[in-house]
Amino acid sequence: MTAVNDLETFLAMGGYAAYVWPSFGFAFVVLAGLWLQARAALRRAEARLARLEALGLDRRARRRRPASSTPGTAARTDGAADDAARA
Amino acid sequence: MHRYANPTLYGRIVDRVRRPAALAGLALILVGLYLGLFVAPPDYQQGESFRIMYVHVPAAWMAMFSYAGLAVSSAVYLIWRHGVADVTAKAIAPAGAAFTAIALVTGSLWGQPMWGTWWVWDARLTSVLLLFFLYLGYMVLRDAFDAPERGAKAAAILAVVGVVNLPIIKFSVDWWNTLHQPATISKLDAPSIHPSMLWPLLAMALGFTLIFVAIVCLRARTELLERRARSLEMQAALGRAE
Repeated sequence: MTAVNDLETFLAMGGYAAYVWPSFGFAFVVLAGLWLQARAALRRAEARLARLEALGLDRRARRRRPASSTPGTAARTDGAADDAARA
Repeated sequence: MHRYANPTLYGRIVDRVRRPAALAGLALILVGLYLGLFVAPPDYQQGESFRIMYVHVPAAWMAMFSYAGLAVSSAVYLIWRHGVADVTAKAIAPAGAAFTAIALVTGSLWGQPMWGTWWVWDARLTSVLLLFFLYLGYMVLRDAFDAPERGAKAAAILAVVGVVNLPIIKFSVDWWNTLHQPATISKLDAPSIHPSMLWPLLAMALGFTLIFVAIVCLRARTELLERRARSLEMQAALGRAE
């Protein structure tokens, strides 16, 4: 029993490979897509709000810290705008 | 109760919860995958195909849990007019639809080798398909009106009415003669499933739940920003009109 054989046995899933792997794959793709789409929507909303606030419409709105665009780090949004809205 | 209807506080909560929930959820899913694919033995009846359970069952649970969240948020919005309840409901819907789609597709992939068919119009499968359409209907209805509040209200009513589908899904395997097998975990005191098979299921279920929470936080934050942007645009339009 070599390691390659072990791997082949594992991947074969007792003959059910064609059902098991697509199931896991589909779940992964859908959840990853859901996450990425939600992140992209947040970025768009942040950009839209930043543009509007740059127009200086709402002088009470404190400058929001620019969102970090490094991949893998969630953008930090503080409640400043909301605070200002309620002020 | 009204303290939590404050958008600022709500925004702080979702921002604080999001990343820890996402990371913990991912870790639990990895643990669940390891235990479910490498440690759990093959099922005596279903062989290796039973491993589909580790995505199918948690997704199906989440599909129903999400809908309960959608219906409760919608009811709170309709009764108390709390904007944050509407924000929450709007954030939940796409996630719920995604989990329902996973449950349907993985169930189909499990059904083919076990039952010899991809799909059968039995009570369990049909009621879950209806759940999927309720999520889609909710999302479509929200966007079907010019005034966002009207769409939100109409969709909330749909979500509340659709809640009758939840007990139908849950008890369909008992009420009707369905092809679908009964609940995997029926009695917590004496589960009909071996611990080596149960632990990965629980890890995956908790992982899915935390990922769901993180996605709802992400979408809720987005919606709060969108609402703020909309009010600024209104201001701008009024300013130009003067």
